[in-house]
Amino acid sequence: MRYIWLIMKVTFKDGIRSRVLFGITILSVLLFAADVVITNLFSLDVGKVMIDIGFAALSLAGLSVIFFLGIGMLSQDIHNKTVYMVISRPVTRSQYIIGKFGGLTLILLVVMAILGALALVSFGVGSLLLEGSALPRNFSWPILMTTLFFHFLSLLVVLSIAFFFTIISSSMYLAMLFTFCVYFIGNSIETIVKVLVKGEFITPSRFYVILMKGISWFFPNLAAFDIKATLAYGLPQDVTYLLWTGVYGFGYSFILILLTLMVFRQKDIC
Amino acid sequence: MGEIVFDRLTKSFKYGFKRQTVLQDLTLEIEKGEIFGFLGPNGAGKSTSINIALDFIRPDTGKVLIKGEPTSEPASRRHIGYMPEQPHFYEQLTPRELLEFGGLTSGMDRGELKVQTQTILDKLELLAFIDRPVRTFSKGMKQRIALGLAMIHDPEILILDEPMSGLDPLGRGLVSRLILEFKKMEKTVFFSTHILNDVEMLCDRIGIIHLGKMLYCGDIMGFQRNFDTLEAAFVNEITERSQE
Amino acid sequence: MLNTKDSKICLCLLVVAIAIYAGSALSVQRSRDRLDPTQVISALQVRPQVLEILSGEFRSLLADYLVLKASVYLGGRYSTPDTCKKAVSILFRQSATLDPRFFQTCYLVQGIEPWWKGIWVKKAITTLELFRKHRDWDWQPGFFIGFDYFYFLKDNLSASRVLMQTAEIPNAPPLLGLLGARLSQQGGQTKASIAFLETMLDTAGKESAKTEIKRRIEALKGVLKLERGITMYRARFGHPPDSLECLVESGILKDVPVNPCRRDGRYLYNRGKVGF
Repeated sequence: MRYIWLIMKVTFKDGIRSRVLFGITILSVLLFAADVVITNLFSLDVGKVMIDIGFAALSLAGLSVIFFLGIGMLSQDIHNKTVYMVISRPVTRSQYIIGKFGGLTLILLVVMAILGALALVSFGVGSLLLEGSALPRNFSWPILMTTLFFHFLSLLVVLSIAFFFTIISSSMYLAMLFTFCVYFIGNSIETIVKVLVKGEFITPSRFYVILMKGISWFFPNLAAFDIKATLAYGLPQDVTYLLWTGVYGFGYSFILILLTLMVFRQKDIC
Repeated sequence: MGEIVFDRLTKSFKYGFKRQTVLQDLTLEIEKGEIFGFLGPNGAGKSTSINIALDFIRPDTGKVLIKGEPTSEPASRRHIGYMPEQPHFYEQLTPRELLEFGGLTSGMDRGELKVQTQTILDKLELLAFIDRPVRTFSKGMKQRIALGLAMIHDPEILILDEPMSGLDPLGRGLVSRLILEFKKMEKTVFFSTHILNDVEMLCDRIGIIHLGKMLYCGDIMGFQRNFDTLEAAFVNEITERSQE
Repeated sequence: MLNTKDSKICLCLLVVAIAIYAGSALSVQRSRDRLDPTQVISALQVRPQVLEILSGEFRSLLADYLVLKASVYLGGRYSTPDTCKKAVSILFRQSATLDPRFFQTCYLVQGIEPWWKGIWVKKAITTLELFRKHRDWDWQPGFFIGFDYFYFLKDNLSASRVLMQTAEIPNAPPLLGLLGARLSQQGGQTKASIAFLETMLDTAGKESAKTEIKRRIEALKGVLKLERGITMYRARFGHPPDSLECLVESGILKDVPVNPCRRDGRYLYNRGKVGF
């Protein structure tokens, strides 16, 4: 555990001081400032528009951290052999992977926390500037926190995917491409399956439907973590659903990290 | 048993559909307290052997033992201080943070580590840069940091891959002094190089590898024999073997 | 050190380039401000489900953007040319599919589309149905649909059905149920109206609402009695009575019930149809 913590610490320090992160934060701040301006273009359900823009900024920032910082750092470790600095010590490869993933998760968490706080500030400023209240229907802090948590969880799943592809592929750009593909599929697979099953526009063969359903098990259903609508419209949050989705998210990430471990342990690093 | 034992190592790599053998049945034993120079032309298999000793890559057959422990055991690396040929670090960290990481992961306690960090950086003439991020360092300075990382936990064995590469004469002098200091403490140094002047100055024994095979292992005079310089003997040996 | 002459040339070129850019930007802006037929609003004519797939987790934001895009061309300086109507309708539909709870879109759809009349009424209703389905706490989409059926399509039965369903939403104004019942009665659904209002009576909170509902129930019961009488009269004589008094004169009814919803207590009657 001690070694994992040490690796987490150096990963966190290295990432948090990166200029890439600085740039991402600046862009996000600008987007939050724009939030106040953009919401003035709407007169109804303004709270929901604020939430849309705020969470879009969080998504963009989170994905930027994963793609440019996460994949970049890990890729550099492997391809520039910075990893030698770690595994030349009495540290196992598993500890390295877990520590590295932990460090990147910590960076993501800190970024989300800071940007989440900024989003709330822009929310508050926007509410003050608008004539009426811009709070969404049935607004509550627990719902907001839950929505933020699941947003973070979906990014964690993407991070674990990025981790996996960076370790198994020989190129940083390939890892980015594969990760993006899985991210895109993860966000759309649920809709695709529903459209096929409904058969409103096309009538696919049964085999094709089964195939798509099978594929949907393989890719992460990222849409399941998107519970913004409950915050935007004050809809009730089903606790059972949330619990199972949480287990699903952590479970998927765990499987990917485990697979990454298994690959990395056998890999020749040279 | 020697401090480092290479026991019938064989390793090949796949390039597309072809397979290239990089090490063929390499057997070598490094004794305690000696400075061993591992020589060979580019692509001979020196770095591959070292990478196997550090468990970065796995041999097809054979094994490497460090103080009797197989290298597959992470604990075996507790005895080793390693310096890569082209050192890379987490660029945003400072020398203090890097050495802290190196020391703590090698089992040092914080109090001892704090003192040792100052001592090592002073020896490496980097004390003035202790809190500056490594990304601002020159190649030579990074090389010295790498050496510091290798030495911070006072290991029994130093494994250095081309330690003089990229260093100016002052830097090379510094590294040579440190290696000799290490020997005085009866520690083992195993380093690869193709700068033969350094070998002549520092090494007790040498090993020569070419196309993955050990050509010679023994003292310098035994190898040099009828030649005036080590370099002449080395060039002759390699040329003859290449023609076979 | 940069050559001073080179620096001056670079600076001059920069100034000229900025001037050219500023001029062209102004010109482009002016051109795009004029509502030229060649610059009509364009809507990506893809199925909303495709947009849903492509937009991923940003579908809600895209819904906001699409309604903004549509609303730029509505009201104010611009009226909506026919060429734009299809595009605006598509944008509304796409926005509604991406976020079927966004009230801004719902409000704009109701405020704009059905007023174009013709085919646009049904299109508006189809879009509004999405909101009614997903904003299950909100009575307004149902109210809009009911209004559209009643006012534009003259389909009282459908209006009544929608309004009565909408009235069941908690916090829906009691007016909706009353309205739905009235429309239902006009479509020949008097019994259903009475049953619905009796249910509403149980759940009505305020006394004033209860009094009003009771009056309506009484009025509808009177209508039901009169309608039965008219049916019997038609069966006996082969045509509806000339007035409600004929029902008393013919002995079918003992008396004409009093209408509690009118000051004169009379029911409205026209060629077999009774109203209150």
